[in-house]
Amino acid sequence: MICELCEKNQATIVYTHIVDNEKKTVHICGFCASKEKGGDAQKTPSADMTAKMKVALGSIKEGGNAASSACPQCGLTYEEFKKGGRFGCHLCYTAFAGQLERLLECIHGATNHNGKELVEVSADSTPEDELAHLREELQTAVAAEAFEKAAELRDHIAELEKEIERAS
Amino acid sequence: MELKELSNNSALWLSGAADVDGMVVSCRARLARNLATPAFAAKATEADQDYVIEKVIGAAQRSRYLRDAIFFKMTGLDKSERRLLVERHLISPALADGAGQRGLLFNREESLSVMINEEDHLRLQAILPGLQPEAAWRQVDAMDDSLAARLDYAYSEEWGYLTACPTNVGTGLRMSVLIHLPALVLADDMERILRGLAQMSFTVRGFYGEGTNALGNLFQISNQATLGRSEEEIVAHLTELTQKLVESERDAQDSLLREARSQVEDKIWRAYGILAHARVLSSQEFMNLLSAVRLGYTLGLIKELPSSFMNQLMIVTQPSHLQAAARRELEPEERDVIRAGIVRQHMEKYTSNNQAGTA
Repeated sequence: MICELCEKNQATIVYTHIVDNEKKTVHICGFCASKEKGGDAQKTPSADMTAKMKVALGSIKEGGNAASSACPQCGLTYEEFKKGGRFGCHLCYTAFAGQLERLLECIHGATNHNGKELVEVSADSTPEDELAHLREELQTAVAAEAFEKAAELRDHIAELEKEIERAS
Repeated sequence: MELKELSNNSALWLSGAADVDGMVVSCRARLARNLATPAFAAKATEADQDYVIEKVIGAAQRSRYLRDAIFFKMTGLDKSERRLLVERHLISPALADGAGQRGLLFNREESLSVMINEEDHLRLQAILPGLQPEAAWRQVDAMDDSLAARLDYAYSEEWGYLTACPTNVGTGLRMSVLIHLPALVLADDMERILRGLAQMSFTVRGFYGEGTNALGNLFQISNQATLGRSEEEIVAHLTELTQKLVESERDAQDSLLREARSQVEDKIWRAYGILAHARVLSSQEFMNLLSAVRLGYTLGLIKELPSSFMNQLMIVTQPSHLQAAARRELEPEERDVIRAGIVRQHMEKYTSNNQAGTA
């Protein structure tokens, strides 16, 4: 069989790919396979998810002037996002919140984060507050036998203690 | 560490530990993270990218996991050196071939790494041998904590960790295992299984990441959805699926042996013989033969070649590794000759060690 990509060399590799539940098979030669590895197929980290996203994006009805709306921070337009599938900055999430819910539902079957929380150190909390919080976390980590995490917390606590000592 | 030393380094994930009779090569936990201030990749300037690198390195120097990490800037490496890092699973092809300022931090065991300025500002990875996804998650989680304490992450309570692509938002966690399923492939059962996995929102790809064929019957299984479930749920789901796959593979192996024991054994030993004596080996042929030998190991037929041997061999016979060994650019035909030589050498070393041990 001749390679389906270059149509010149003998096909030696069967290239199988699952996109949206459909198995796609292409017969290609070694040369095209190595090109394919470094080529476009690999540039989008999850080609199959992108396909899923395209479907999701296509299913969203844009009301009014959604297409021309742009992120106030980075200037990315919704049209640009639809084309590239990537946001330009974290504020794009808020800027396109109207379309986002449907999109996330399509991709993840969910719209809300339910995992690890980012513990923000608020500007007005004192180092002592943070220390107390870290100690609490350490206890939880030890109880859960999450020793890597515990070691990290211990380091962080020691660092903070030193800082407090230096400041006083 | 110099890059050329790396090609002979034995990465922890190749060690064959916890490998479930040679069936599960490795597992990996990856977290996508971004900083709140500069723009994401699509809108980033080189100055933004430099800023991200500087910030991440600053944070890494104070992290117990990355304090002694090795750092490479992609602009300082040539194409074949970047390929070498891809072959070692330290970076993605996207980081290797991307534009602008990109970097990589990794520890000496190659178990922890951070890609800087790939699609997201940070891609944190923990990769371990065999089936230990929970440990991989714990390690990447702890490394994440150590960086989060010193970086200002883009995060929202509603959507979690904000990523360049909404397919990664929420936990930003992609868990995967690299699993060897020769009997299921032979029994023509993979298609049904792949469909089932896809329905459960898991992706199946061939060896070496995206879009590749399942070279040597090695499949990479990973979760698709990152939002709406906890990291622990993702880890547990992947573990459970992998165990089911291992069971199905064992069943398929059993029925294969029941139906055609001599033929299976013959195929395995022929593969062993070719690997030990061939003078020209394409990567395709090599991976298929290695798959047969790995099956021999799983079935207990071949005892002297541990899975660490097969894992290591699989990496050192990749094109950029061969070029690093030969210290020059190689034509594909030359590569096949050098590949056969390296395989032969490794086989001789192991079999003679083994004879010396038993004598």
